[in-house]
Amino acid sequence: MRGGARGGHGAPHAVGAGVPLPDDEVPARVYDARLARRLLAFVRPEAGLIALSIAFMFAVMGASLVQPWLIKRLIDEHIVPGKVEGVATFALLYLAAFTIELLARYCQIYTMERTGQNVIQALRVQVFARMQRLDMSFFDRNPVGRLMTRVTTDVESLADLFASGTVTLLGDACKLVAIVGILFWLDARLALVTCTIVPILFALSILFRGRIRQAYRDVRRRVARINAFLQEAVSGMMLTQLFRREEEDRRDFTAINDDHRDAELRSVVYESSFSAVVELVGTVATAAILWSGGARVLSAALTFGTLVAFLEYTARFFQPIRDLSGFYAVLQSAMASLERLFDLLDTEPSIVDGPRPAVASMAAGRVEFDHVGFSYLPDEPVLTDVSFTVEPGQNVAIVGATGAGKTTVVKLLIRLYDPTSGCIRLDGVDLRDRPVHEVRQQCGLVMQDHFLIAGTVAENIAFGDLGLSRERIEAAARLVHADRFVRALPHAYDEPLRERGGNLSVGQKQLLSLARAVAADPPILILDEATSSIDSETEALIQDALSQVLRGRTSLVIAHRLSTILAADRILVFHHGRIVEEGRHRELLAKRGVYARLYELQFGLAEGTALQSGRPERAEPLPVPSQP
Amino acid sequence: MRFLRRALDAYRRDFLLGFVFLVITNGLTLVIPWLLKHGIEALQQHQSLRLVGRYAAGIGVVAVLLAFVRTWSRWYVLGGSRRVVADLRARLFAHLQTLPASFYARHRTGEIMSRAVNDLLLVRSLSGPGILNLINVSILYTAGLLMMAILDVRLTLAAIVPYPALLYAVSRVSRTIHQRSNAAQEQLAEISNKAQENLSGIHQVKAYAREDLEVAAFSALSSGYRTRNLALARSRGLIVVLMSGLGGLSTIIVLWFGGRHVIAGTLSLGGLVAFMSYLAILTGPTIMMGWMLGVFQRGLGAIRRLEEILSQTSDLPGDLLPGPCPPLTGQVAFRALSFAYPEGREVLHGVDLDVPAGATIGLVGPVGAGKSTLVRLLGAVFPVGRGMLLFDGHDFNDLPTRGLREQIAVVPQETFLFSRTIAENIALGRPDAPRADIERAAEIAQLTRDLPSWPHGLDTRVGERGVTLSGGQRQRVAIARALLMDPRVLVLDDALSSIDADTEAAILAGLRRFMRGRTTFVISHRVATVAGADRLLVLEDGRVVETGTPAELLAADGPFARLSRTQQIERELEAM
Repeated sequence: MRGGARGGHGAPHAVGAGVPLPDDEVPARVYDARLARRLLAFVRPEAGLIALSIAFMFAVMGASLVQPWLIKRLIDEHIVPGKVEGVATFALLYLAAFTIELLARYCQIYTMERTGQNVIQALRVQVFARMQRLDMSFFDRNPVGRLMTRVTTDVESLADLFASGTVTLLGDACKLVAIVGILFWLDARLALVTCTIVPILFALSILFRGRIRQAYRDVRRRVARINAFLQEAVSGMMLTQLFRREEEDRRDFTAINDDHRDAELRSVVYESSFSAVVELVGTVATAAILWSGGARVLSAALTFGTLVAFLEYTARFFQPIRDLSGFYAVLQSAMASLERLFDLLDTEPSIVDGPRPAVASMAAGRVEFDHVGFSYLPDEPVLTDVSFTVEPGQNVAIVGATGAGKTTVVKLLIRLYDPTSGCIRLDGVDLRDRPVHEVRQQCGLVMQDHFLIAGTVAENIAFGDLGLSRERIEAAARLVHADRFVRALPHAYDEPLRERGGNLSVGQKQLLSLARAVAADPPILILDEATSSIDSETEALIQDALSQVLRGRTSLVIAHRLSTILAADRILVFHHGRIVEEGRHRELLAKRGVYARLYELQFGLAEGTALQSGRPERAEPLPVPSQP
Repeated sequence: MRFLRRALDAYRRDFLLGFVFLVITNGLTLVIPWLLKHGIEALQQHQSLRLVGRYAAGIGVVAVLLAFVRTWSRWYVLGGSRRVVADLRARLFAHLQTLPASFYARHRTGEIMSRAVNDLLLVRSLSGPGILNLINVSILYTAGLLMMAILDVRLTLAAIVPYPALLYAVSRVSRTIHQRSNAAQEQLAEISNKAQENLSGIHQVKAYAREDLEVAAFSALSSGYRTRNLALARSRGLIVVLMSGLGGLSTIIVLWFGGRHVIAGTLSLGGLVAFMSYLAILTGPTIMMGWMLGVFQRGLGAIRRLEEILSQTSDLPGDLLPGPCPPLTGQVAFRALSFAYPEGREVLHGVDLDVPAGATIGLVGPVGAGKSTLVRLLGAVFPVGRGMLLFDGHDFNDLPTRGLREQIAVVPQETFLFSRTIAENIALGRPDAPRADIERAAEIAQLTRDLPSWPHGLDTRVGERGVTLSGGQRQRVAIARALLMDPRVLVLDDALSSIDADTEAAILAGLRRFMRGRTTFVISHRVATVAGADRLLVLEDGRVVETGTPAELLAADGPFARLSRTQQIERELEAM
């Protein structure tokens, strides 16, 4: 019964590297010049490192390719003629070549890794920063799980591109060319024999890789399904047990698990035979060289040393070819990731800073809704022609049934969305003309769902303002009567909160959210049903505290519980997205309209009448618009 | 370790066959340099192309054979490992289903997911490529060294001189790699957690204009990841150098001594070439050894962690009891009941209560008074601490949990919906419930009024790719879910909090009819919600401070009367 994980909310992995959701599987072109160019912009700052890495790569290549040649000369000039002196020189030369190769390889690995890490670090932060700037409507469209993979899996797959990629690719290509060059220089005819296997290997690689890739894609899809299932099953385990659904779940899981295993087995078949076939081609090439080379040695067209060197070079021939075909897969997945990442970076927020410069001082707190209309989806208006003004220092309550549009008013006021029509003004200035941050800094907000970050209680109260003094944090907690339960925690204000405040009750989370809003000391305070789950007694205490906080401060309070808003200067009654009544509590009651009915229902119930099933006649059902 | 062995046992045949094919594979691998040696010798000594051709053809034949055997060996071992892991995953899941609420209170979802995803991958590496390479390496080492020794013992000894020192260095570095790779993984998990937290609460981040702080925090984590990865890259680079260094050093030694032998005539040129080929064969396994060390270390760690979970058992005595639970009338009693959460302080102190079957009990009290805890005990998800919980006079500990749960339905405070259809969510406890029953439960829970707003009515999918339900709608689905269970005891844990008063009244009216003759526990902060109860229980700080009928409590002028008066005064304000 822990955690309010909503159906499907939360990433399907939550563990380190994410798993792409099935619908993330965009069939990507292997190479896309446009994407590559854009990636280049991120790579350019690392040009120096890359140049260094390439230099090291050539050093590795030179040093490693010179070794078989040294052996050839050793055999031809010393061992076959039986000349002992000079052998030491060759051994030393070999040692030198070898040491250079090792050192250069180390440097190459490190410089390349550094390049990759620098690039993906920049990219990751940029992607995350972009997400922070995007509108709520973007987050309405994209589930958390999918966005998580952007900053984890997608960015990580680029790391592969660097670690096993670009420079290695360049190196492999150069190595291949160099080896072919040397082979032809040693003996053109034998070189031709060796080279015939190149197209065969490439063809085989591409054939197999295609199958393997398909198999892997199947596996990935099924892994994503397993993870999604597990995530949900584990989060909802208590419920599964309470409702004794274990067997059905186990059956479902077994089906998914078996499906995944079968896909994996298919991939194993291709994988196993691929490596075996590559090996086969290589060995057959060795045999061919032995045979045709042997013939040429017999006809004295070739020395022994050359033949041995040939066999050595041929052995070094396969690695680059295998790497090259492997790079294809890395490139493909990197391109798919890049496409997604750049798509995200290209998404522009529609809610942007207005042209007016920021003002240093806090707002006076005059809020004005001027014929505001809003809809999340076209043709489904949530707010229609809403007009009201909150004068500085005024406390205004918003009431209405579920789905009347109360929460939307708050979302518009802090500019999580812009109105579809009409205009909202803060101190006489259209919100859209102001910097977004400025607007939000003026509003202290306590929302329905409590957002707690991994950190201590104190950090959660300070939240937006790290410089907040401990005195002020504790004062805020005392004011909302959160102090008592906080002090009861083992480490009081330094108590670390678990995943989304898992170690707190709902009421306690609400108190902390309230303390947070109070600590921020904003000119405008917005409470969205903040007291709905707190018992009346605590609620009364909070009311008492709030009346002090609210004094001289513009405030908007939303609640189903009318008790929390009796003290309001003015009450706005929302119904079907419109303001249907407006005034003070007593005036509204006298109207005997929607407000009176809401009130009657709330307090009529206290008599126990509703429980006796003699429910008062109900007004038309209040439809609940499905808010994204 | 035991559980891995048991899992491997089921596929003993696959692994045995794999082993046999691996031995053959390696044998054939070693035949090739031998054929090569003879080919070259044939060339050098006999100058016969026919002989050379025969050796070349031999190499070809062996290569083809090798391709088949190699494929089979990998298929059996790697395929076996996939099956083992699939079995383990199924077993882990089945086991997770038996673990009690206290387990889930101690372990975060992410942590459990990490066991089921990451750790099983590590086990897969160990049981597949790990075992495969372990066999390969042992065979190749033994055979390679043997062949080298046959060719020239002294040369062999000289060639392996650098091995011990370098292997020691390699194992040291690979331990560092392991630590550093863990550190990097942990940091990646931190990044992942941060992103999850941020994205889940993005509107609050925006509302508090916290974006810059969040980017800074994320950037710090990300840069920490970079630093750790670079540290890892340095160790990895070092190990590559060490490994290649080992092979290279041996080659130099062989060239040095071997060359002298050839010149002195104590070794044929073909012999030297073959010797060097064998040495090259050893290079692969040596490099592999460092990798394997890591795979085994990580794999064994993963197995330890998995075993830790698999060794946990339910702390509910009722989970161990076989057989059905006697049918209950709905009578419930608490006797001096105390309770503490695992690793927590006591939240209930000596609660006494007798509830006759069919009664409706209202629970009120301030935040953290222990109301939800009491309800969780009723739902049979936590073991009873000190004291007793009795159902129809039977000790809770003597009743089989599953049978008990069949007769009790709990609607928790925070609603969890599965990403299935609404109808399937309602039918959670009775997947085969007739449609009419589901519809009736939905009707009592007042879901009928929402049907037009859902594209497919009750068959609308909830969640990521379905519709999003409001808090009130979610709670009503949860209520319908409980009603469909047709329980003897129904527990509503503040389950109406997000539902407006109007709808709540309708639900309560329906519930009253439905629950006639059944026991109901209702927790609420609203006096109205519990005012119709037969008996009220006021909890404070884990103790019952007041109990009686609503009328008695109102007369008693205690906490409940105060609570009621607060709400009444608000009403009287109107009359002024």
